[in-house]
Amino acid sequence: MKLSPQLLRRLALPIGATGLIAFAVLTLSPPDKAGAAPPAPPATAPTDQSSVVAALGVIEPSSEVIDVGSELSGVVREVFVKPGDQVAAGAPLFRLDGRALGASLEAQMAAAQQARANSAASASRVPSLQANAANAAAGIAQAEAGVTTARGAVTQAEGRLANAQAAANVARLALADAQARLGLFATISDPRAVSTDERDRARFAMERAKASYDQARGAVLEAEGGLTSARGGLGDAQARLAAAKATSASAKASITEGQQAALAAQAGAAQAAAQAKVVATDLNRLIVRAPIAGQVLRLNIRVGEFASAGTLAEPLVAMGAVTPMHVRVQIDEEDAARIASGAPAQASLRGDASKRFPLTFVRFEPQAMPKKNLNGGAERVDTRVVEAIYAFNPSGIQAFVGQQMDVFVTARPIVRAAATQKSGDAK
Amino acid sequence: MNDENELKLRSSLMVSFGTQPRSRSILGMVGIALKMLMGDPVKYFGLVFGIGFSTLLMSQQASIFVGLLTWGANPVLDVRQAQVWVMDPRVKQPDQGQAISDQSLYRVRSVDGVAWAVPYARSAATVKTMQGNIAAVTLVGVDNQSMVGLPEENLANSMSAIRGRNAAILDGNTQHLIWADGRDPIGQVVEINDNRVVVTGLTSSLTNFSGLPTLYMKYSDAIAITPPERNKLSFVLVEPKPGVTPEDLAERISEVTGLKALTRQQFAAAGTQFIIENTGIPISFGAAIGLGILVAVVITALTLAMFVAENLKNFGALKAIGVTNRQILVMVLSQALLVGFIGYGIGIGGTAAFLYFGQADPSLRGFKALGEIVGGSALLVMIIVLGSAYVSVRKVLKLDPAIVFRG
Repeated sequence: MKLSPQLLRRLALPIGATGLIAFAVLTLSPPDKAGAAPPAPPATAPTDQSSVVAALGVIEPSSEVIDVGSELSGVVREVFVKPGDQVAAGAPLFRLDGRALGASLEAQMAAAQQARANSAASASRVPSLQANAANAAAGIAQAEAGVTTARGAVTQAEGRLANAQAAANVARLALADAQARLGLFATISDPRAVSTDERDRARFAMERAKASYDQARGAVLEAEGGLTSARGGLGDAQARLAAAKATSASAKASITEGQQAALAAQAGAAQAAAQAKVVATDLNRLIVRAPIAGQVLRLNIRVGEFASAGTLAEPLVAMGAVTPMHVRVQIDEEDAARIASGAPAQASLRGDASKRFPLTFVRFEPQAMPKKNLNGGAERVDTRVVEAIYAFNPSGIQAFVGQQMDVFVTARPIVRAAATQKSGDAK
Repeated sequence: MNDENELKLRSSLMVSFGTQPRSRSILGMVGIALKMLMGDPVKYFGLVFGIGFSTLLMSQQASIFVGLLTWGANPVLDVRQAQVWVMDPRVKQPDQGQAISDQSLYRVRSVDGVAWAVPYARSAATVKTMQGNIAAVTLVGVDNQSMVGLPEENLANSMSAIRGRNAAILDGNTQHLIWADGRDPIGQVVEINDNRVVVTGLTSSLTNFSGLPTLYMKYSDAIAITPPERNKLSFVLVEPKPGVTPEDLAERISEVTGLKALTRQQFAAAGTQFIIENTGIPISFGAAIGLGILVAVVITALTLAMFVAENLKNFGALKAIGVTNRQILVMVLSQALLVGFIGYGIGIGGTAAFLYFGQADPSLRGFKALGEIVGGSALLVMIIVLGSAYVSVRKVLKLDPAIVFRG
């Protein structure tokens, strides 16, 4: 067929239309591209487990994080550790300024020494007081012997008085006899009836009897005087006894007093010593020590800063035992029933879902909590979570305390509701 | 049609009949028919441009219509990595904010058959630029680690640009809504809810119905800078394990968690459905498309009928020399198909050009040239022209050849 210009003209439109259709087909929009791979792998459920419960895990030390507090407030003079240091239990972490307490300790020690000296002095006074008391007791014995002697003298004097009175009575009788004879002679008026001699002799006899009587009376008086003096001696002796007794009582009282003073001084010494010890303990408490063996996780205190005692929003030192590490896995209460105690789990760290490592079950927290470890941002949820604690060996894994993990716990499969029940619900 | 032409046509008719063998005679008849058609340029071009215009109207309007509908699905279609979307049971479309508890992420992850599940937050926010402009944006928070949901196309910076603190990747197609002066948005500092946000990269996301620029951030950043709410997790994006179909998984997730789970296609369809149900778009575009069809039918049928009527004498002559009705039918159909083809080509070419060159304009970027529309309008045009041809040719078929001699 010849290509005449006329034919070409006729073919122009169909060819043009073909070209336009080809253009339309060629410029068709590309179809929707579904099923692209994610730019980075997300945390993926393990393929070897048919049923898992996924949960958020937060790494914590196996001891949990210990916010080490200071018992006393003060300025930090020395910090012994660096963040990340492994420390033994009891190892010093930091030391507060102790100058004031040190001075106070010296003063307390001096006071204690003085109190001890006082106590010794008080104790040494007691024996001399006891000797005094013994002397006083000996005085009592002496005074009692004096009383006995005086009583003997009174008895003797009484005996002598009785003798003298008896002699006086004899003499009185003899006098009365002599007087009677003399009277007899006197009644004879005739002087010659009786010789003068006789008369005189009777007179003299009466005189003699009178003198004897007088003598006897004198002896009685003397004996009476002796008795009185003996009685006075007895009174004296008794008064001396009473005085001796009083002395002894006072000596005894002063012993008690001395002993009490010694006890008080002793107690004072003990108190002063205890006070010194309190200060020494406080001085020791200025050094804050590691409560357990573990790693220093955070150090918020530097030399020269003031460390406050008590609960702080930012702990001075945070530490914990990091071998093994624990993961606190928060399982939704609705899924908790599917997890058996001891169920194995796998976890990957946020930011690297490609590396997954196994976790071993430690325990369930016995109390379910409102969810508080948040997935990011200011999340507010009313869900309760059951917390399971899992452990892993951190060696070879760069895992940090507080880091989040995507945890997949092997679980029982979800039991689907029976079909009949479902259709019933639908109605 | 002048007499000279008519004469030529008739003579060629005779020639081809006399000389061509039977097998080629159909082709000869078609050739004559086409000569007949092109010999009458007024009707020829009338038919071609009538069909061309109505094809343009139909296909272009249909493209815009489908494009608009797809805008409702585009937030879903933009996420190519995940097959299943999990949301609050009340959510009907992707831009509807009804957040679910963050714990839902773990509940979904714990469902059997889930390979992975990541959070996805979608909310409205207002951006303040350093230049003092204010622009509404759609703020999307994608999973910090996997960045599922961040479109990977046309990234002006690497995907890791989103990893910085309060770093954002902006949809480069709509950046002019924030900075009208055409400056490079990378490195620009904006303020969202009193938070400093740095644009560190550009991506290309599909146009969404709201028309707002989309700003992609890390999930943690996105929920940190939005105002406090009880929940902020809009969706959980899920990928089934190998061997689990998305439909089964979606059903299972709904059953276990009580949340609504839809496959990507279902949710995209829901987004489209929402627009159909809640806007006047279907009616207005349906009317335009219907008018296109009406124009095509009317113009084609009338012009073709007119053309056939004018050539009635010629057809009569053909019948008189023994051309069968079937051959005449083929002739008219071939004429109709030619004008249909050319007209369709012009119309669809116009639509394609409109969509192709329209991509340069950001507001037209969301409309797609779809194979379904190209094919569908071809089918429609074919039905219209063949139908019109058949209706027009009936008169010829009933024609008595003697009419020619009656003059």
